Amino acid sequence: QDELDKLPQGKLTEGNVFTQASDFQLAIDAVYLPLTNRFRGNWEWENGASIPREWVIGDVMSDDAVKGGGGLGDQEDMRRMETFNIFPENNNVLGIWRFNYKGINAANTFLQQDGSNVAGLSADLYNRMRGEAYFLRAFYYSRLVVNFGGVPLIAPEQGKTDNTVRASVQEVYGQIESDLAQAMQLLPMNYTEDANYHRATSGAAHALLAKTYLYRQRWQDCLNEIAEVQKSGYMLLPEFEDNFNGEGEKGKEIIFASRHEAGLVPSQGAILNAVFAPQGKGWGFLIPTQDLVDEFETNDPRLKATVFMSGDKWVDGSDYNPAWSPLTGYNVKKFMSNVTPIDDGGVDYIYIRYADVLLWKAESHAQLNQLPEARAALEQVRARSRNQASDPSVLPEVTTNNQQELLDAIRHERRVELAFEGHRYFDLVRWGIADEVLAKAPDADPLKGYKDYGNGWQPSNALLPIPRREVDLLGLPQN
Amino acid sequence: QTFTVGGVVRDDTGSGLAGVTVQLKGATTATATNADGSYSLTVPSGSGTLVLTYIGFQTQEVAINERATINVTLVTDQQALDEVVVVGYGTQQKSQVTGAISSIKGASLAQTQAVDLSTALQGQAAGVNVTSPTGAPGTEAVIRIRGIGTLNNSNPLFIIDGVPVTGGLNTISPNDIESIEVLKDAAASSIYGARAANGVVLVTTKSGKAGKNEIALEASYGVASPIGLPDMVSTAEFIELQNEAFENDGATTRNNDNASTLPNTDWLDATFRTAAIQRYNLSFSGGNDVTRYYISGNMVNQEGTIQNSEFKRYGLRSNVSSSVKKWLTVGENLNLTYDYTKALGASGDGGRPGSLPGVVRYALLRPNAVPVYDPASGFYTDLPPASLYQNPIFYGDAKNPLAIADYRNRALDRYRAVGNIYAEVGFLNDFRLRTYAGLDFSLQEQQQYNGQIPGDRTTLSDKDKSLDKFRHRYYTLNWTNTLNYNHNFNEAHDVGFTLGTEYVTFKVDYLSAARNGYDNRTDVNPDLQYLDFGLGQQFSSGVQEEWALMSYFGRVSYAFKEKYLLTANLRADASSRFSENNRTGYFPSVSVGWNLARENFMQNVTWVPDLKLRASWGELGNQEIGLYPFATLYSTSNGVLQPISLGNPDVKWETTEQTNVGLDASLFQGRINLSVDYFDKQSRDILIQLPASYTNGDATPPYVNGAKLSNKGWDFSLNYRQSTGGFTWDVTGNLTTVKNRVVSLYQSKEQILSSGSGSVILREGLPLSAFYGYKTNGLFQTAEDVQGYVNATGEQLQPNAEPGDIRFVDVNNDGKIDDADRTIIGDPNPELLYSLNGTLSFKNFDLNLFFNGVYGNEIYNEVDNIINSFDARGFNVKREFYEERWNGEGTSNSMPRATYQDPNNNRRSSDRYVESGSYLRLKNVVLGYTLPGTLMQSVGISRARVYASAQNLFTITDYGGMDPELYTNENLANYGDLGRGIDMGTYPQSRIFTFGLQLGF
Repeated sequence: QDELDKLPQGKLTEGNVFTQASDFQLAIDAVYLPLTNRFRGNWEWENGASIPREWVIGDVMSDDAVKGGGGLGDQEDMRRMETFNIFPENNNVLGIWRFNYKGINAANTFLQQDGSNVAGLSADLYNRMRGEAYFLRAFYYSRLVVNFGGVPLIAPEQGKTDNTVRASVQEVYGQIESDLAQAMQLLPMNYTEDANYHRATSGAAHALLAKTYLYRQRWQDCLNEIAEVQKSGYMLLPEFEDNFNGEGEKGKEIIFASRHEAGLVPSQGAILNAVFAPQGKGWGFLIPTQDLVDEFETNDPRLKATVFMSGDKWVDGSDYNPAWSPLTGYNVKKFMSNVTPIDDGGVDYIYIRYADVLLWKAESHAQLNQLPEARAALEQVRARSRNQASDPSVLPEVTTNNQQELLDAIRHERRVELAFEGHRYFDLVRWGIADEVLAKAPDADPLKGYKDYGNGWQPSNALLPIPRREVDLLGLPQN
Repeated sequence: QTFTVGGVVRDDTGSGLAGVTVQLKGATTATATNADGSYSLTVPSGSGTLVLTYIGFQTQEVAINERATINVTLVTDQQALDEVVVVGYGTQQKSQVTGAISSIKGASLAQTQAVDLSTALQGQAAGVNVTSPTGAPGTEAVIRIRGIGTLNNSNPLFIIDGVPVTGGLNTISPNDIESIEVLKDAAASSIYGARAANGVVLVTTKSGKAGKNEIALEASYGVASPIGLPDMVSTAEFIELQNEAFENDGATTRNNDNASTLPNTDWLDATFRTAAIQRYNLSFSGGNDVTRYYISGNMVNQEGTIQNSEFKRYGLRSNVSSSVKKWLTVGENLNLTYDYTKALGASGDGGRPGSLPGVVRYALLRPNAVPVYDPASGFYTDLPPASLYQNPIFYGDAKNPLAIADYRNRALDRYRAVGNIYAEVGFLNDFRLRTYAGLDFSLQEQQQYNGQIPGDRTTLSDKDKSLDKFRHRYYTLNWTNTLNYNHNFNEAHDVGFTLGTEYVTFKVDYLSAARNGYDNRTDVNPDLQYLDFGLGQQFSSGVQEEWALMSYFGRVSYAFKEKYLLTANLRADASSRFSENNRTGYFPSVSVGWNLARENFMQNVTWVPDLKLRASWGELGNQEIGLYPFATLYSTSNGVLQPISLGNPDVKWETTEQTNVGLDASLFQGRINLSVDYFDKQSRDILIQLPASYTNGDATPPYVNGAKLSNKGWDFSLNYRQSTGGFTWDVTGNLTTVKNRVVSLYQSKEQILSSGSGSVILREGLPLSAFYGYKTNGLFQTAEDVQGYVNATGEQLQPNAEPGDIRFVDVNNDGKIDDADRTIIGDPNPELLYSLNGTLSFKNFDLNLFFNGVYGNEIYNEVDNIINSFDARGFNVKREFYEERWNGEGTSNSMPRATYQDPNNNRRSSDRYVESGSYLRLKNVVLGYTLPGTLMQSVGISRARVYASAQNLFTITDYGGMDPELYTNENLANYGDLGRGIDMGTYPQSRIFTFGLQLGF
């Protein structure tokens, strides 16, 4: 009979996993993994794998960028996203679903373990990790609810395991709130060790909760959470571009980002570096539009930190050639770095930074008609760049007393401050102006359509379709 | 004074018998008949007696009586004709067999000219479906016996000389095969228990015959060319279609390139070539009463019809047995092979991890306007060279198939040993104790270099260039002991039993290494493509897996006066693949037979020498469900810990219950032989993977015993033999029907799998993996048609459609057309498989025709979704689309208009791509000529035959894709049988003309 006891070899199984502290460490790191833009060993675009698609929906679908790439046919599904011809089989839709649920399941795997009696795992460390798991689960659900509305709620340690039922939007937000409440309790305000600088903090938990209130237009709740965020001592970096070139990764402005390191084995760098680099150097996706460039005020120093354009230097110091980007003459600069190979970028990808929070604050106050407070928050963001320009006439202080004018100024500020950070499309939708900005009559000319942004947005596009694969496999009701 | 006597020796059908020994009784004077049966013998006087002996015939004595001409008709020896059939762990007289077994002669396999054993089996036996998934060299055929009885691995168990082997049938030369027995029903196969649910194939290799020392040499040379390549549009037509699409879309843009100044490359022509196939076999065999031997060597060198695809095999075989004592026989069978495959992506688009992009798919996608070589650099073109066109975007970004073939191929080396040693002891007259140990050992290496493709759109830095090396070593060991007893009591009761034990253990070890950091020299020089030469990062991985099976089995058989037959089997298998509680499974079977022809009331019906009715019932298991389905596995790679597959400790056996009723008949002196079987296979507790939904993360979901499948059908086999006037006919027809149904699924949940635009569904009550998609109803011809297509409340059903777009059907009648309207649109399961294999001999000529056909299945022509449509990505277009597309009211009701925008999503998964997969193929025709014996004998050659053959000479089919013979594409390879029938562009089969020579010494 012993001859028949053949157990898996070279693999951990229930019998020997989660028996030592390092397993918990590796398991909590697994929860962060879907946030990163690391190369994952294969290019399964069809199955929504390879990389997260935050930038496809946040930026390509907005008026800030067009798809780009190697031609009409390169990532045809992305073109369908861009032109709001979105079918449930679109691989970007599946990708967004897949990456977020991958994170949720990794969090669930961790939260189902009992680490209270594991040698070498202190109670403090274990609790902090649980806090990270709760935070990240809330983060992933917040992505899902914004993109899809109600989704299956899986939280096995709370008995929630049915993947065939879509919970209501309220239930998803309820889960997010309760997870974040746990996270706020369990997480530290900051980390001192280099190995941990990217981990979730209590401030990040408050910020994420604030963001969900913002999206639900619960302005006062949003402000209350922002007040909690500010207790952590976040501040704007003096140099705007340091957020996007690696200099400010451990600085005071980043509230939550996914960590990338260049030159490690196995690679922990960002593939986005190659995705955004011009055709030939990389693949030339996410091409900034003229419309975005025009949005920047004269001499706004943020423009040069946001796009590569004529007269600029490419990452390696050579002259940037606008011909590299035949559609508009621009390429994305944020998050780009000079590395070899080019798909091993070392710059962290920001999900929440303090300037974003300040603009939520401005927006919430403005919505509550608290215009001085709104102007003050807005001014903090503008002042940083004005100071950088060392020209006091650049980016003059916004002084309007008209609520709508102030809201418009905040919207403008968000667009230029946060371009290519994955927010624009969601902002347009939640502001209710997607139809106005993106619903232009479909352009009959495919070549123009390819250069143009946002063809034919309709209210039915406010949510993405549930991926066909999941509808087919689980019987989920479609949006 | 001598006397010469001569004449012709014939069999009872009248045809001449070659090789009959004609001897003068009591003397050494003897001769043998020639090919036409004639003989001439000089004897001392005309008063002696001739003795004529020939295997399979009764020995006859004829007094000469001073006659100069004596023609003799030999009578077949019924006893000798009653062949011995190989059954599980033994042999049986054919007349006593009660299970459904198809026997195939080795000569018939060799006749097919197939390089590998699995392909050679196509069309040879009723109930056995053999499909070549691609025409790439080295491809093994997929074998399914009596339908698909599981959602998991449906491969039959292959046992070669008692050794269970794991795949790799292309390492076995068809020329070394003596016979193959296919065990189809439960009675025949339940003695293999847990591995028998998909049928068992017993392969017996050749052995030497006492007193018949022979040298046989065969050599052949063939030339192959691809079949079924479609016609594509010319550059001018391509541009015309694009401008028509712009016009249809109301766009002002035009493609203003002048076609006459652009290339017009026939990419299929550029990609394919004629290829050579060489085969050599040399064998030595013979022996005496004590020792028998068969030793052979073989070599195959097969080029593919696409450059850089090839298959080579070198094999050695030695089979020796010796009766060292009166009571003891020992022996060995050993097959050593080395084979080498250079592989290209043969199907699919390379989207699945680890798969290569399909060369043929890209040859289909690349427009004619793109030249093979870049005019400036001389390298293969990649993206259309910008200098040639006003706007290269119009010509797409399909990869250059020749560049893929040259720079993205993979080399596989495999070393394999399959063999056994055995000893058999006979005692107390009726008992035989046999013990044998078998080994199947394989060492496989794979290497792929990913370097810079000159002229490619992507410039790789040295760090991006990598070499992957993969080594895979496994062995299966079996140790088997059997005790046989047979005795006839009172000339009436045949009693026999077999008892046995078997232990099988399998272990596989994977080791892979990769390195990057190769320089430009490596790109062009294979001599530098080694791990050592890389300067960059190194990666390595390795793991081991194993399984084991401990078994006890027994069979009892009883026959009364050879009329009434009863056999019962039982096997108990304990498998490591299940947790301890579910480890052991029991697999019983019983069968009965009735030899009607031996009843007294049949004695006067002389035209029916043999008639037997058979019936059987039994249960079989399937353990091919992964090695550790009970355990949840975690990975720690890439610095994170995560579950990679979820286990279910309650997993138990899959069980197939099979009932079989059959009839064997031999009519008119054996001229007609008929075998008919009806089978009913019910498979239960089939392991079904819970839906691999991404909602549950990326870990592989657990298996549960949750599905039932049903397969019912008929096997017919009819053979006709006749010899008249020098002609000998031997024609065999096989016909199989299988009706496949999904009886139930876990929690009745259906599953849909997709590849490209093609989808299949698992749903209760339907055949396995039916095609799933939208139903179409012609095209909108006018704007009024579009506006008039409304639901009950008057809302337009397809508001975005334009004339020339496809009208989809609101199947569920809910007033809108969406995913819920997808329905069953086709069935990949054939209703009928048939083959006809006929040999006609006349004098020294022999002609063999072999037809194989499939009827009633459908294929989802996924690649037509791109090339038989208009694709915005600038991919090539089939001429069929050009000629039959809609371009104005009434121009077509099936082929939609050209459009870039495709606002109607014409190309969604629909019945438009479902085509009949029925075909009839002349698989092989062989014409042979045996040189006259007298001529050859003078130079010491006992037999010499030359032949010419043509494979795949013609195919009758309505299928519009390249090849109706296909299986699953590489994108869906993980799903095995469930994804078959979706054509993403396959390496097609070849037409091969072969010339060969066979010599015997």
